[in-house]
Amino acid sequence: MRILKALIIKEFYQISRDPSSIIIAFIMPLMLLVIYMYGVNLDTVRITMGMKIDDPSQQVVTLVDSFKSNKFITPFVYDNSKKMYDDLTGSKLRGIVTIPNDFSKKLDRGEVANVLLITDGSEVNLANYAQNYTKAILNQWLNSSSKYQRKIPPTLINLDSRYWYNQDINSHYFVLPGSMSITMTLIGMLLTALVIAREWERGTMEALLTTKVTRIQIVLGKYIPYFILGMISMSFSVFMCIVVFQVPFRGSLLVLFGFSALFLFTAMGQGLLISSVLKNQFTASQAALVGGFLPALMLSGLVFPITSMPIPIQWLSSVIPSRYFVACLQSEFMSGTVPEIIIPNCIFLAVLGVILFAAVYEKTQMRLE
Amino acid sequence: MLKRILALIRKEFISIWKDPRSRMLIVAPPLLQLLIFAHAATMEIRNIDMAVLDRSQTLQSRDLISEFQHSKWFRTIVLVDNENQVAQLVRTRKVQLALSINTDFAKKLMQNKPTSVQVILDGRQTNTASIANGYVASIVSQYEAEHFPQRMKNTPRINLEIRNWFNPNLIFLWYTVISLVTILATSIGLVLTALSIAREREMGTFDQLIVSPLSSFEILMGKTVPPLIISLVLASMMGVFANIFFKVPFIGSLPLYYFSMIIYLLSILGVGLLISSICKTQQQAILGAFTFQMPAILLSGYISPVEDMPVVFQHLTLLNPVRFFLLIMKGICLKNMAPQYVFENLVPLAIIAVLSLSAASWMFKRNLD
Repeated sequence: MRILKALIIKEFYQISRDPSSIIIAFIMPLMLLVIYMYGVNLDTVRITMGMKIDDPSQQVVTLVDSFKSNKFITPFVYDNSKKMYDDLTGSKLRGIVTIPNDFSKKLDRGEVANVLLITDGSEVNLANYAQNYTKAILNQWLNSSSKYQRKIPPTLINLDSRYWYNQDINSHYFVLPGSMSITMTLIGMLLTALVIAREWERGTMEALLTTKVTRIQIVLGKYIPYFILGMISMSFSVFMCIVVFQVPFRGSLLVLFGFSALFLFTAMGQGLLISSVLKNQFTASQAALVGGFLPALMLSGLVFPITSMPIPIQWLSSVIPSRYFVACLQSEFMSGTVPEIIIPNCIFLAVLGVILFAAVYEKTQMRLE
Repeated sequence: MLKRILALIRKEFISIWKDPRSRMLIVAPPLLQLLIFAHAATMEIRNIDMAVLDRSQTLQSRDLISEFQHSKWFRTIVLVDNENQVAQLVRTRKVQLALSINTDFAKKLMQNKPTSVQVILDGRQTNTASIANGYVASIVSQYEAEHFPQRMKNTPRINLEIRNWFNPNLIFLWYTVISLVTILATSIGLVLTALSIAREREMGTFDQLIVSPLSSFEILMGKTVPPLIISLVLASMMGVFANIFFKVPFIGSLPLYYFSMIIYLLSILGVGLLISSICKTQQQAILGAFTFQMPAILLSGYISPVEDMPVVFQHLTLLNPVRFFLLIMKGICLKNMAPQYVFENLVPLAIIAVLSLSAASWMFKRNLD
């Protein structure tokens, strides 16, 4: 027990003396939260669009006004089509709306008037926004602000859409808590992977092996300090999310910290396994990046929904601990504790964590090569 | 001088290449990641599971439901009997959305009166939810147009004709693959350089390099050329992969592509070397590289467009090489962008490259303890 305590204290000295571990535990989460809060928007994005008006009638002026007053579009009216097309190619515009010269005449006669929309298909997501915004503005204008509105029968089937748990339709409410899965992966996996690999590289691990330290003491001596660091950093992120960024939290803090601890245990298992197998900081950091961090970012369901992925990739994602963590986080924050979601995800995490712990124990060799 | 530089370059190649594990970790992952993430990182929502509460139980309501059954976006449709079941399915995330049809649905339709259907969406993942809501809206309006065509006769209507330039069918994969090639090339370049000086510092061999007759410029060349060649080769492999397996078109000029790629990689290698020359340990260097890479990718326009960010962030992105290169990549591959637009975005990259590389070489000798 005394040995274990000494190992843990030594590790804490190392943590507090290296500014990079403080940076990763506190500065990095803060930076990520700020970026996700202000720099990343998954809902209604503002885009710039070009407009070319070939119909000088009064009606079209009101239509252009509808475009101008829409808060998601910044329209620029062009006279020169060549310049406009060049700006689309140069990625200055995301779409171009052209209103032909017979537009109002056709509407006056009760016919179908054409509007041409050209989008920049190289930005698929923005092209979709350009289409949806344009459709919505045209419909809105025709049905409720143009002089034609009286001639148009009302839509028969209206949609009454409700977003449960998130009436404001604010993606930050799930992205900010979700981003904790990234910082926790960084601390749990990358940091611990580097730490053991460094001991092997510098030869201090060999020095340790010549003493009376047992295998379980070495393993726990690494697990415990970084676990504590991770949980402190987690508390900091939770505090920032709830108090500073005002993300609604409807669940229970106890449950939140419970499954976070479980996740951290699993992520550290990954990190320690990588480093005790590779024993070299360069390869360990590579492996942590490739095997842990990037999949945690892309396959966890944080930004890209898992159900839309092809089946083999869905299988692959089932061995990624962050997947279970993200599911728990989003649910706990936004809809309160849902046992049907928390329990199965925690079981998966626990199983992965125990397997990894056993593997780390197995791989931590007490013999020199 | 040339001989000395060549010797150093050879030495750098050997130190990256000699270890089979590190060799594997450099070459295999980019291609594997491209393959996996290309299919995972999509904003297209497929395989939606939905619940339907059909209180109307009429021919009309069943017709509407069958429209959903025949659409490509929905996977399973669960018919439920009451609202509690709807709530339970949505809460436990068994379904992503629920549709509720009122008792008077058919009656109102037959009387030609407007009615509404209720859609309940899971706001815990708003981006998925709003896209799914869009699908529902288009299916419902298609149903209305098919079953009640006489309503729209002789009324003014607008037909929005859409053309998606550069990607007529809005294939999401093209966008993802091009962005991924950029991101993975960035990550290779950073990892190769970020550790190179820090590792030598930790081992003490960098001091030997400094006391040798090599000038700072020669050391810089020796540290830049090998990672440049390796990352250029890997980027080309990914490019070929993208073109052959993912059928991403390439319509621009190949020399311009390589010219921009080299300038871009130089800017990334410069940043990596600068980080490496500031850091004292490998741990600091790898975490430093992360602290640069994460915001650079998140604020590059890959996840949400630059023009949608707050003005402060928009100014910050002027320092972000990834932002400029993403534009160039899409421009050259998909749009055959005019050279003047490419150069417009290359100038900032060249400035970043020159500044970071000279700062790094200045730091070589400064940072001796």
